[in-house]
Amino acid sequence: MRVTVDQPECTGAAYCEEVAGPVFVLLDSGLATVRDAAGEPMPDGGGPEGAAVADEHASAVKDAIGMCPGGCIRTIATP
Amino acid sequence: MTTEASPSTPSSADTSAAAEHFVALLADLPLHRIHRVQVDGRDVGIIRTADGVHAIGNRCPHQGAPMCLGRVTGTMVASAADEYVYDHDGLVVQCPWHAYEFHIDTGRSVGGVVRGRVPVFTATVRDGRVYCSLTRPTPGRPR
Repeated sequence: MRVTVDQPECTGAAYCEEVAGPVFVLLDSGLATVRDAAGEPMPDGGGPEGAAVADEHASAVKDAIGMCPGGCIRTIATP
Repeated sequence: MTTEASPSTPSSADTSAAAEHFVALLADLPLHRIHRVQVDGRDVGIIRTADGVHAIGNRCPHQGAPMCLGRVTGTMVASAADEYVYDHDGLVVQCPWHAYEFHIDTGRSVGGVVRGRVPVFTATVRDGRVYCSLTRPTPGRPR
């Protein structure tokens, strides 16, 4: 699974960071983004490529998707 | 790029976040009403206030309620001890589900009772025409 944050819709509530901190981070701008493989924040919320989610974090990411009031966490289909 | 459109037909072909989209004629926007438009496939609320025109996203940071169905109002602010007065008339938007209040200009929760903020976009007026882009002012991490 890969995920990205659709930043124009982000409310900055930070539930994603709270429940799936290894995958998401709330930037100082008040907008969330995903972390790359090195754990660094990706620009543009991860963009169309997004970030890969390790199996150990998949459940937490699903929780974050369900909790996000902005509905701005997008999953990206992988072949 | 600003996409020109006929005055009565809001539209844009440019899909970048910074692109300006014509959304309404200023004269068609009643004061203190949320005018719901589509900008690049997203629901955006255009609000004309006494101090200008604002654009908000359609999600409440509390539980995701559709803010375009909210109402523009004011709020009660503290004055003297044990006393509150109505103020900020027309500068606050109230969530339709739980009545949480947010400042229209920043999206921040009145009194800081809800973490996060209603998305706020850039709205500009030129020659009586209202434009919106999906760029987000970034006032900092909400507390």
